[in-house]
Amino acid sequence: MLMRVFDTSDYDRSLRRRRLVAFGLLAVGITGILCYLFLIKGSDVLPDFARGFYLGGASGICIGAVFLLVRVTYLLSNRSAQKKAKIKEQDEREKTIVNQAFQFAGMFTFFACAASLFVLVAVSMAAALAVLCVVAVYAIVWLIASLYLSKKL
Amino acid sequence: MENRIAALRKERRISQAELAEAVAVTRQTIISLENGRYNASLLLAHKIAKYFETTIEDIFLFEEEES
Repeated sequence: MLMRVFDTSDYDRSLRRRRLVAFGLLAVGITGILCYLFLIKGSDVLPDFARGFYLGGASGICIGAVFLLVRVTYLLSNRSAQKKAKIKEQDEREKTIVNQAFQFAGMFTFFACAASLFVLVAVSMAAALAVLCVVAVYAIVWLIASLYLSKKL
Repeated sequence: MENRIAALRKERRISQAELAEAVAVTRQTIISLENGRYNASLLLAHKIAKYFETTIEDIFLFEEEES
């Protein structure tokens, strides 16, 4: 489903799918805000930080969804802007830049997490375990993805 | 890898924007290709060759690496 959203071979259809995704995200964000207002705000169960995180996350999702919705609606109604956006998204150099940036960010995050483990073990075992899980998940996902791609390509 | 895109384009008085639109890439990609900072994929090389009504070898100058 996610791959079909970003498949630009039929850009018009891809944009309509993105609009559906935007509505879905908006629903998630609004649900989060409603949960905060009616369940979290008045309760003393969660600390201030957790409550702020709840509201911040839900607001962020709502803002992102509205931005996506406005952009997609504009592109669907304006053919020349849609053509420009399509070229920009399909441009192979842009794709290479995005892929290499992701690769670099992934490698950097992996090594930064691995290095931070040496500090975290001494400071907080819970934080160290959380980071260790991130490193382990990264390695497992990389392994599965490389196995899948070596079969597919 | 060197290429003759800029030369062919100037010879036929085509702007970077026109070429970019014809082969469905951004103008920045054409600039990077002309400067040799980016190597085109086989698909893009084929599109460019088709646009200039010539062959890929005539535009992209492959250098065989000696090992």
